[in-house]
Amino acid sequence: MSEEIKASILLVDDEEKFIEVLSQRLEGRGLKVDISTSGENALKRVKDKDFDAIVLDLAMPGLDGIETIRRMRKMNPDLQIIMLTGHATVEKGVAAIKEGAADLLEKPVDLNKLLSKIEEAKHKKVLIIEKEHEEKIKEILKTKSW
Amino acid sequence: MHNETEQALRNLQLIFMGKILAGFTHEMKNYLAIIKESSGLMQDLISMGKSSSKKDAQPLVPSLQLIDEQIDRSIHILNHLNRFAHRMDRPSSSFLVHDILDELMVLMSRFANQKKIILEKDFQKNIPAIISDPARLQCLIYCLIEEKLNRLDAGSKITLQTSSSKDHILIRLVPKGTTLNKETENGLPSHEVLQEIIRDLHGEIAHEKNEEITIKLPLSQE
Repeated sequence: MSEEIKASILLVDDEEKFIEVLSQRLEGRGLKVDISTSGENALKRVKDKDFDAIVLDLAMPGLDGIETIRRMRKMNPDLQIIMLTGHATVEKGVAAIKEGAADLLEKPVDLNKLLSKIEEAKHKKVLIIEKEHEEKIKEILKTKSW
Repeated sequence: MHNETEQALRNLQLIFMGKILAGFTHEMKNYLAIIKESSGLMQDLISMGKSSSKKDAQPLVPSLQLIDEQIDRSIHILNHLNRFAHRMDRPSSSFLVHDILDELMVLMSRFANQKKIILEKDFQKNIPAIISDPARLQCLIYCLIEEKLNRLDAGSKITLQTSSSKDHILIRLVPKGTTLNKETENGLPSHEVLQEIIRDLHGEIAHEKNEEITIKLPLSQE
């Protein structure tokens, strides 16, 4: 088994059985996994909790992956979203990346590839937070006279 | 039925088939994803188990790995079938000729295997994308390969070659082996129909004496 990764993720897919089993495998590798079976529910989760990465299925009934990513990014443009797709069209992939997906993986997913994408996403998120902190400190320093 | 209506109906049928096939392959991939993860989970549990139970469960591992291998094989074909189905979404799009040839080779490999004929590729690197009708081009090449499969003896070889120049690409079908002198009665379209398809693609087709076939296609139809 691969090394443990400390990250918190949200897994979104309408295939309940799929996310049930995948989340168990990811948890076995040290990840904290929340699951959601619809785009609508995923939006609520993202509003309430901070995740290192969101793994989102492209084709879902109701709010599809593209619309979900659009709304999520509107709520928080720094979200790291990894799209999963069962459809192998270039157009859908391009649309997802245009909407701000960090990566696109084809289903059934290679677990090691998914883990390395989650790690990358977490790293990107840490960099964004560090940059934000740095800017805040600069702002504070500017306003103070010492 | 009026010719134009007939044509429109045919196109509609093609789009319909493409949609059904794309949806079906998508569903199959979802089911396979669940089986793959379930098999993976069992392997995880075995590897995480206590040494005594790990030893008991060890004989199961090769079977679980076999399940994984067969799933990967199925996914390989389904991915190609899914892309093939999506080729029918639009009559004109930008695509890589190598992608559609690879797809065809995977989807036709079973037919070739049954006839004990080898299907191989010899592609030039960095062939640019073309703007054309991918489903129609695949149909044309399918017909040409199928005709060769029917006329070549077991042990023969069909090579698909590609090359490009400034404004066009060439696809060559090179058969090697014994050609059987039989007329093919397999429901394949006549040479006139194939010529019609190639005209539609704004290309040219040349049948050479040594049974080789060359298709010349413009990079763009405009």
